[in-house]
Amino acid sequence: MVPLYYHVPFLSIVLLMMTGILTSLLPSGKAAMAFHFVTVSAVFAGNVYLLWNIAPANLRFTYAAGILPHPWGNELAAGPLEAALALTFLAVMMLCVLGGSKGIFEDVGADKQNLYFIMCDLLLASLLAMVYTNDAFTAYVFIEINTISACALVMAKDAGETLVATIRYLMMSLLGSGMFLMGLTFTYHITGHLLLINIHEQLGQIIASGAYRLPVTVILGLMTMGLCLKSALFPFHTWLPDAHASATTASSAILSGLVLKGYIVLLIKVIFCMFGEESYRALHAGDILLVLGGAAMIAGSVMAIKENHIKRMIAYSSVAQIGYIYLGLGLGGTAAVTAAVYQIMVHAFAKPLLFLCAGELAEVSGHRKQMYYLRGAAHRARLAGIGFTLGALSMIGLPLLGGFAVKFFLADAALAGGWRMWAALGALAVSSVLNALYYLPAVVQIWTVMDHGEDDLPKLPRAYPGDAAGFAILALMVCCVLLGVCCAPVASLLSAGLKLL
Amino acid sequence: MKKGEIRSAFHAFAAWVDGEEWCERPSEAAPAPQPEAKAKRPVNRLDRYRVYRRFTQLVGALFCLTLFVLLLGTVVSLPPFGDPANPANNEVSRRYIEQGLEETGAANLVAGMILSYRAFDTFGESSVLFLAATCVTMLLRRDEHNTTSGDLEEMAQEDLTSRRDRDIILRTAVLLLLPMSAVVGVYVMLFGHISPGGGFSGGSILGGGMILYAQTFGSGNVRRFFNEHMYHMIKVVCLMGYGLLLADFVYTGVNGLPGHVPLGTPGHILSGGIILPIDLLVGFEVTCTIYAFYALFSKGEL
Repeated sequence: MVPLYYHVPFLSIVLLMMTGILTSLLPSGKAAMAFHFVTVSAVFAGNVYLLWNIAPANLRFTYAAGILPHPWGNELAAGPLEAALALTFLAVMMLCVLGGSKGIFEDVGADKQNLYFIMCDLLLASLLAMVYTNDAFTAYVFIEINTISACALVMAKDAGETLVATIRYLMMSLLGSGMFLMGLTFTYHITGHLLLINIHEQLGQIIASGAYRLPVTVILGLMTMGLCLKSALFPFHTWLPDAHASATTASSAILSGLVLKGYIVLLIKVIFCMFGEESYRALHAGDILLVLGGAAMIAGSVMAIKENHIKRMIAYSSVAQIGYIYLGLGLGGTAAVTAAVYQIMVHAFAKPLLFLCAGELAEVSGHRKQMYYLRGAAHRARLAGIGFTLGALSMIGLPLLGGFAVKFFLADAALAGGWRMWAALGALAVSSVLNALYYLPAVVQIWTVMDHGEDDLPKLPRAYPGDAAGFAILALMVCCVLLGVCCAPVASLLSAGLKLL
Repeated sequence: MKKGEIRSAFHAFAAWVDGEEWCERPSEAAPAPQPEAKAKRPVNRLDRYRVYRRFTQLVGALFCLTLFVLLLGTVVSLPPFGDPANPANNEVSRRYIEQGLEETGAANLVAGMILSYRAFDTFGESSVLFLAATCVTMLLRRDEHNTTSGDLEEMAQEDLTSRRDRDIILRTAVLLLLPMSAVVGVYVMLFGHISPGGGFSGGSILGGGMILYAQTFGSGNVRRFFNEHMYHMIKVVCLMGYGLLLADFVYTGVNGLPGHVPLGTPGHILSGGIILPIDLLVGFEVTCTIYAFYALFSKGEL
């Protein structure tokens, strides 16, 4: 008999999928939400148990999801890194749904609300599957599930602009899936395997022997580009602002906090478990990621500066923040990739915080999202104002907040030298200043007391976020601070997990 | 429609997809006044947009061409199709071929592979179908938001026409075809582990039969034996059944215990362990989903 915690990854995925399936029988959105919370809490507890058991022993194990292990059957693998990421995703999903629940019940039609939670359940299942999979084809199947459910989350708010945004998102996302699938097909042709461990072995031999040089390069290009497209790396980000800004608040938070990250985790698996870091870098793919990541950090911020719609501004800021992750991946080495994974976690908490608070602030300003109308909004919704300020400061990189730890780790890792150091440090410096250039005016704007004499706004009532939203905002704030304060133990856990990949 | 009209309709659709119709955001800053000296030919936003459009079209075409050449080059340099020395003919396929019958109990190797060795992936695939049907429901199910009274009237009119207009040849032909499609569909599902076929193909055949029936006799007649409640029940029972079978299969497999579903004699109808029940469950789920797609796309309800 294998230990009980070995079953946690498989059971988490299957339980979440079954929850989604059963939810289609539930009569109302409220019941669906309660069911969602029950399952996600149970799965969260299970993953805590898993991490509790494997982190001290620094253990990474594979789990045959069937009768045979690799190279014959489906397989999952779990180590400290996977468990930590899964816990982050579960916590963020729960808080996003909790914080955006009011918006969901307002924006989604009454008889379609339970369907929204089906999408949340299956999206989470697919994210966990991407985190835990040890099989390239399982990864592809769950990419499909992820794509469809993410598009459904955008279109759930049934308005003209969300439908257009969904179509764009779907087109780009499908192009990305197609590229990944083509890469996978070629991989199978030249290696004869679908399990990451075996592909790694075979690819190592092929690269060392120098055979199939063009196919190997094309596979690497297709898989990397497909996943970059889906995670909105800079030149491929065009679908992101509309999709993130027009959806309902919970969807915006889930999309930028979680969906983008799932594909990056998969890319980390492609780099480390499939190609192996040295072979990946030997083909200069790392340098391309580094350059694109740096460009994203600057271009995303510049585009955000030009925006005056608060949700679009935050969405463009996601483009910049995704750039940080790719910068870390591109720099290479355990320290830099740990920084990238740390950024995945920090951004997963900070961006939903910003989206939830922005939604709350817009609500007390008559549902208007232009910066102009948000003046003084923080006085009408105190907690949301504080949350927005904290999230913004974390994005800028104030010490004691998560964003600072990421920048510190990235800069530290970049000191290894060469042109990469100058590129990385330059991009970090410029983008920090640019971040401040659009977040600080927004913070000042929401805290500026409105002069009722001149203003054309009707006198708006003060509002307090409901208990649920307030709790979600508080919890996200606590997580942001915790990640900033306790950065050393978390980072050492992540880097230990990375070394086991 | 003339050629020009088709073109303009296409452009209108492209414009709609590109979001031109709605993307004008409320007043950003007023456009800065052009200096007099430069204002020989005023550059308006639409002109600039056209130039940009040309540029993106050019880049897109170049990108596609490069990708095309690259992919073609890759395919040419892959190992030749069907060569016994190919990397794909390794210990994995050897084990599937040599021990698959004994380990899965399925004479159809493909069924043994996708429903036993890779049962987890296939559970994911069936969920994709469930998810797609849910998305279509989300988007197309009739509610006060996306239906006008005119739509309802039109549909009632269509129902009336189909009830009055009894086409005897069509109805007789369909009545002859229906039992056959039902028998073939169930056969393909039941024998999926012995001969080519399985849940996905059998379910499509059954679902096709239901669509045929609905087309000829009207959706009202289908609703007498298959309504929305039935649809949800069948879908949920099938997928939950698959999930539970899979969970049990994996749990026993990982712990090295014998499976709860006996493998049976290969080639016999009661063989293949969990493959036969899963084929049936997937088959009924696919039937429901295929019909649901049809009903939701055409009528907006089941």
